[in-house]
Amino acid sequence: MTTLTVDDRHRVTLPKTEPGQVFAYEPDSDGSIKLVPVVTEPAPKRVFARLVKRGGKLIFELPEGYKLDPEAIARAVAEERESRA
Amino acid sequence: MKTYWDTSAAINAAFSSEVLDRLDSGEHVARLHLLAEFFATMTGRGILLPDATGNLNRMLFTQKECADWLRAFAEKVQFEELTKDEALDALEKAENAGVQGSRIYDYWHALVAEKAKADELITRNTRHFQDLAKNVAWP
Repeated sequence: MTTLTVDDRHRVTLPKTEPGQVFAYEPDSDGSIKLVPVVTEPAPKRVFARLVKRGGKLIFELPEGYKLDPEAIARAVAEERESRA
Repeated sequence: MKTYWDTSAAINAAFSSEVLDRLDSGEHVARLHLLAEFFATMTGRGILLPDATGNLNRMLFTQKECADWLRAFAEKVQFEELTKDEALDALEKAENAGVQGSRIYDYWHALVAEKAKADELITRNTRHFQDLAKNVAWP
């Protein structure tokens, strides 16, 4: 059995973990403690569309690999309005 | 044909030649508020779009390019607004119209479209204009 010892600042060292890694802490009535790794989704990156002139008109071009989703436009405006409500 | 533009329709036009080309004919009207809401959306939270691997990222415009595009858009659009009295009367009727919270923004757009005698109100948020305007269409 592997044992972990609490130091004078109430800390233990968990093997095979990364600094900053987050665990859900679930103490049980029998005295056992369950630690479940919390997997966080990466925050969305900020990507900029590029303004170009096409056929004499200004229009934004999406970077390669992106496709416009009209529903996403609706959600973005709704989200902006909700943030002001 | 007179078309009233909601902010989502203008954002759609910023990416789509087909929607942008609508400005080449007919009359077009919007509220000045559109300029602020467009700028706030596209230089703030942006639009969540998936990249080639499916990760959702925020698609944004730089402030300068956003302002440049809005200037070009505004050249082809007339701006209309409620008067103070019209606005206050509308707020008084909001409860009966089922309008509360952020729905006020859609309500206000619908009222200005009506005041401008627009033949259609174009928006990507058609559902939000349910019961507020009858002439709602996709851009």
